[in-house]
Amino acid sequence: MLNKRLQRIGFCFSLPTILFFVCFISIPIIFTLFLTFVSWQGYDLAQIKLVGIKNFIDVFTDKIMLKSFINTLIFVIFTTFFLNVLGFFGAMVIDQKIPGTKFLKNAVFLPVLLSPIIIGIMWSRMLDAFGILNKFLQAIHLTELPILFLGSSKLAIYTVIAATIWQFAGYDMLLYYAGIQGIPGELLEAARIDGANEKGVIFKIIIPVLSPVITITLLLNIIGGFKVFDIVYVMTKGGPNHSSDVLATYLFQQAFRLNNMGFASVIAFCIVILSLIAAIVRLNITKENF
Amino acid sequence: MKNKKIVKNIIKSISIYLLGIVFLIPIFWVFSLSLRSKKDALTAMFFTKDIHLENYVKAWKTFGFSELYINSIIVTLISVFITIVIASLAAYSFSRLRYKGSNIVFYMILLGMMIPPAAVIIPLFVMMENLKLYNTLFSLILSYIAFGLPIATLILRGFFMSIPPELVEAARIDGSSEIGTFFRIIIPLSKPAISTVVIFLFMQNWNEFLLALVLLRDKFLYTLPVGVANFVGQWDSPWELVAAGVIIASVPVFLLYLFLQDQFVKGLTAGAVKG
Repeated sequence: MLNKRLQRIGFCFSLPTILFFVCFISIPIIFTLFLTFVSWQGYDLAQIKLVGIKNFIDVFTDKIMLKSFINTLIFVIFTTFFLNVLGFFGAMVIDQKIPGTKFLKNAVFLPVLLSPIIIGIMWSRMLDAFGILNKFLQAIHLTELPILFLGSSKLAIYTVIAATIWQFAGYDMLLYYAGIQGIPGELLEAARIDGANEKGVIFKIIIPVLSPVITITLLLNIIGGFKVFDIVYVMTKGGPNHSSDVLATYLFQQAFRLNNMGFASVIAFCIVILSLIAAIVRLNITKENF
Repeated sequence: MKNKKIVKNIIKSISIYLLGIVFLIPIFWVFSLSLRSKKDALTAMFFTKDIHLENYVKAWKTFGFSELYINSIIVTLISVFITIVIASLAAYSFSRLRYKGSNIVFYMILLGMMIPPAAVIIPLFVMMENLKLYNTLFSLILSYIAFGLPIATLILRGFFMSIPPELVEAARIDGSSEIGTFFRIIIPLSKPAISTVVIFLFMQNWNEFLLALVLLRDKFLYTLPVGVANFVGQWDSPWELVAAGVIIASVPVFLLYLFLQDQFVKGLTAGAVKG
């Protein structure tokens, strides 16, 4: 331990961070918990009315809440699965020493740089009745009437998922690429000399060696999926008829369109719990020596 | 045998280029859309002979890009700068100036790393309203600092730990003040880590949407994502202008990436760092 004077200086150095954290994250979380027990429109603090656990009952018996939760799960599962599979195989492709891999790497990484808002706008137009995909499908006579990718309550959430996968495949690819480059070349060569085929090399060597990378990538995708808001908001606003609502879009609608602050706070509190679970899992996985 | 391998590699190479081009079709298509006449916008499939560069001028004016860019630049630059200053001080304290309880404080802040803005958006809105900060860029700057601090502190602390402690101790024996050691020894050695954090925070704040959507009401305060989403939200907005707007909003980030590729890759994947 350092002497008292240095410890005091250390505390002062971390004080601004602590203050920001307490004011803008800790206190708001506690305030969210408090708001779950009230009925409030959100303007005049004097109009807050305590209602006990009514909001929890309302939220957990609400059909749209259930739908939003299931959609969030669908979103997390599909994006995590496809991002990891595509990211892994993309990384294997760009790991080869042949012309074109650098181009492919940059091409796939390009959408990662953009805001989900921009991606959402591009894809909404592309998949519109007058967009290029419907024109193409009609040109090759796969469909006569345009398919309403965003207007159909069955397809909407999957369309948003597809756009998200397109945007972030490059992110996972780079994480896996960095991992693959860390594997010693001799290890792979030795296996090949011993007569292992490519499939064997992938499943017996590359995947086991990469397991820390796989864990952190899966975790990041899952966390990212649970907080999705932007792209759903800009592509469907949760519609048609709530069929593509996720937790964050439903929260936004309840809080800032319908002014049900208590109801919305219960949704927010669910997000807090999910995030804290993710945080604890993550800190345990990447455990460090204090 | 050797020829066979060369042919195989050529085929592979061509398919890799094709794959990249197919992947980028959405971007090519939006670009083609941005150059079309109003009539072609809904009817043509890809590029047309009738090129309308003036769409870009029109889009710049109708979206109000001058204001959107100025607001986004102000918010992003100020918030990233303050976050870096505050986070590096804290990271120094959590690595080389540890005090009783500093590990617990650090751990708490790390838990906060996973809290998304959506989880606390309601109290933030209420707080900003009551502090008379609602509908100001300042409210966004404060929130972005708070949400950037945990990850910035984590990455910088990891880097500071790799700086030999003897350097700090020698400076102390020479009578250098802690703040002097921090600025003269730690910061100059940490440029790579700082640039990684700058890019991570820049991308996060530049693209942030939910907080900006909730905390700003007036159009002249909107940042890029909110401004663009707002214009497009009006369903009668012409496609060719929307497409031009998408390109205008994207090009600066592409250019930055072109010049700082390696830093961007490091900065964007910094979220995956181990503690």
